[in-house]
Amino acid sequence: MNPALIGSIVAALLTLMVFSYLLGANPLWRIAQSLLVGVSVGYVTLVLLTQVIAPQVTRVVVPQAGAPEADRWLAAVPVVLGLLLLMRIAYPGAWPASFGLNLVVVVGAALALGGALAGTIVPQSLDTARVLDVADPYALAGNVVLIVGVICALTYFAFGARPGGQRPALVRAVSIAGRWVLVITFGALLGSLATTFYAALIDRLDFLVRLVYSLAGL
Amino acid sequence: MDTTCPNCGATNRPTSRFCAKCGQPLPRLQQAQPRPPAPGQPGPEQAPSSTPTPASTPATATPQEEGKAGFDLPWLQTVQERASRPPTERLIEQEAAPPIPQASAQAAPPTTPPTPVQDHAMPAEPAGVGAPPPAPTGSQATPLPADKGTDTATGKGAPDEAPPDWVVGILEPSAASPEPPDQAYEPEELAHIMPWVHGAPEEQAHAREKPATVPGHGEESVQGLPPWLRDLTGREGAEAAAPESHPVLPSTSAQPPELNIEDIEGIDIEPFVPPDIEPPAAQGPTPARKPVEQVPEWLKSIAPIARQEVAAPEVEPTTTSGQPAPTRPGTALPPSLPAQPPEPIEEPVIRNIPVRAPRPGALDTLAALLAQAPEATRRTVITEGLFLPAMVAETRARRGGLLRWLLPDGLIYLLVLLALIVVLAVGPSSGELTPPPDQGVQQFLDAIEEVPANRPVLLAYDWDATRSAEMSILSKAVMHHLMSRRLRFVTVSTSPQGPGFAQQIADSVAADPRANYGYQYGREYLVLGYLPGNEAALKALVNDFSSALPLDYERHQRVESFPLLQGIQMRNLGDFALIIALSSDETELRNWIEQVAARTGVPVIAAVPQSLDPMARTYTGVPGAGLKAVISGPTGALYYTRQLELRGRIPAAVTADSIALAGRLNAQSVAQLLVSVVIIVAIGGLLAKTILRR
Repeated sequence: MNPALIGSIVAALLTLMVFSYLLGANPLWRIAQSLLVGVSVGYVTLVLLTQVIAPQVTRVVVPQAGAPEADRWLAAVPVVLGLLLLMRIAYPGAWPASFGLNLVVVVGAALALGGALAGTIVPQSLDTARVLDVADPYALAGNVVLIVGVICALTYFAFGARPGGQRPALVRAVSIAGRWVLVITFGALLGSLATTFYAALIDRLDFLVRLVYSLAGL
Repeated sequence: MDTTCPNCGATNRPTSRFCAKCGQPLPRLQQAQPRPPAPGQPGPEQAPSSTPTPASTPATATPQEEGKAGFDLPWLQTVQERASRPPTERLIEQEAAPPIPQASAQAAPPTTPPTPVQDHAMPAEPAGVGAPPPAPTGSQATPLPADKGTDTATGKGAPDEAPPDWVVGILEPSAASPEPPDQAYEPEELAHIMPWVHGAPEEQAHAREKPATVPGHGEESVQGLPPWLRDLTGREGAEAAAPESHPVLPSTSAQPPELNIEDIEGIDIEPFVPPDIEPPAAQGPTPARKPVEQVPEWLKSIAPIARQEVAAPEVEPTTTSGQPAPTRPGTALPPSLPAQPPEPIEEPVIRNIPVRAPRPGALDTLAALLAQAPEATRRTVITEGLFLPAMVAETRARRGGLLRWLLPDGLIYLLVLLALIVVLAVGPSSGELTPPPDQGVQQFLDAIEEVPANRPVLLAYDWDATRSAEMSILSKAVMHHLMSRRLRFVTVSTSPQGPGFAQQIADSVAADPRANYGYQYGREYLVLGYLPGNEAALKALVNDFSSALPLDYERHQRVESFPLLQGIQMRNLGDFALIIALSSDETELRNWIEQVAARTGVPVIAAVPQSLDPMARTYTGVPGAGLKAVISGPTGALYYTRQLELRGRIPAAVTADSIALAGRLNAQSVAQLLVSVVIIVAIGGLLAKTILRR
């Protein structure tokens, strides 16, 4: 039998097992779920071993011919940090065990902060401050909606109040408008997410229909 | 001159009236009796019953007035002497000074009945130096003896005269008279709220005469308890009582007494309704309340206790008759027993938490919860060990039968599934599906068209199996476009599943017999592996490409060994002409924008699932950094494929894929229409129900 056909049949069975969850929790669904988790973890582990750990250890233990000695020492640094991380099994509170993890977190946070400033916050702020072009009514309407929406949404998160506990009436009104801006935004996000899941469902159903057709010789 | 105690022989200060060791009254001052009232001054019996205040009662002069009136009063001289000492000396003296009982009890006329100790379990709050005298309220108002014995005209008083209460607080801070319990309600209100405590006057008088004893050792132990709780507390007290005759503290168990719901229901308790509290302005200025003193005795006895070693009290409080009084309810020492040595005792933990009146029905709710909790807990423990919580919920829902499953969720599931299968299987002809024109797709297509032929393109396969339905279509379309242009490309992945999909799709498109691009792995394209590290990894990729990914994914060979790199430079990301981000996650796409696009200036375009479209579009057209173009979802893939067909980039045989894609979009439209109808019907039903209810 064709191996591709066997694979397709297995995939179809697993798909049906997952769909059986619509009838309620059952052993078939649990088997499919466990298989998915197990295969995913096994695959990721294999990728990490072959793509990350093994090449790095090889650079230290069996360096490439002609490679400089400094490359070997540089490659040893992450290996040592990784080995120190294993100390957490025996000594969870020891500082050498957390050193590598702290290094990753600190460097990642610094890079994320710099990237967010340079790639998101500053460009988005500059792009929001647009000059209204009266010549193009569509662009004008879009820019007005953009600016008003941003102001309203930001006002919604302004929690300052007067000593009496009441916010000014204007702030309250703008805040309500900002809440609706957020509601519409979240609605659009939810609708887009639903479309993605419809696509996944249709993909699986289309696969089943095509398999049935191929098995029936249609 | 020091005074020697006739009972124990301890030496006391001359101003002390009670022995610091045994607490017995000292001979000189214990005989002090209030002098008869001066002419024109009301006696104790004639004192006004209302609350005497310094403003309303001329006899109660302020300390300043007394100081001005005469300086030959012994107690006033003591005050002046005390004030002239250094603060540290006064502090030491205060610590060494034994506490003395309420001065008013000493100076009270013989006709005044002995006042029982109000609340020995409560810690006595020492009055600070200079604190105002406690304002007597209600029936607890006691005339100040100093006022009665002082000749206000001359300002001279008797030499052996006892100082007023507020002066006692200054002279003996540790022995300041306990302030009367600040009542939250008027006596009539308390009688309405807790009739068992504030019952008939004769019952109260009878209760005062009975000394408090150990809980559970007698009928007196349940004083202050409501009738429905006396049996419970008495039973517990009997169980907790020690076999010896030593007094025990109330309720040594850390567990609160169990409330038997049957007992409570049998007594038919009415829910507590708090009386209306008048605004403070109507009552005039009232002293600051101490909410902890509002706790009734029966509630203190069931309060949680904690072990705490407390030193023996320096002086045991005494009653007005001079007999030792129990330090707290239920701890009275019989006169025949000798004084016990200090030993660890248990002190009830009393927090200064305001005691509020319970809400109506709160007791019933608590009792119902206590009765239901054990059963629910037991069931949860049994079921959670075998199934997941979601499965438990599903199992319970399934017990209702098929009809319960069908209505309404199951019916919607079946309806949508049936419609989709029919559309996919039958494929009804709905005419030519024309995707809407998308400016982003056009820009995406143009960005690839503008890549020079001698420069490579970098593809980031950052999606996993959960988005394969959309991303595989988009990825195939992009591959067809790149291969039709004979562009060399390299794939990297920051998702562990990315390299596998990259290899699968690239190999399938390269080997597609319908197109016959003639692409060869290692020569025109290269699949590199997984790149862990998120931001740090992309930063390393920007600086040194070959060091970050030295080996390829498919053959595990060094990148430099492939012919792809023979004629081109690929040291860092700046050597690439274009970066195509095939991302299914917001974080990964944002990393490419923030860490790569903002640092290198290499144009970045993205193909994302429909769920990521709103986020990705906010980065398009942003000057400086951002995405040059975005396509998303099956609709974008269909329009992109049609545009490739129009430009002749895709062979005619490959257009069959776009036909299948159009069939899927038809099914998707049907599903969305069905769900929209269901949502509208549900909203309409809710609105109709709301309107009918009103």
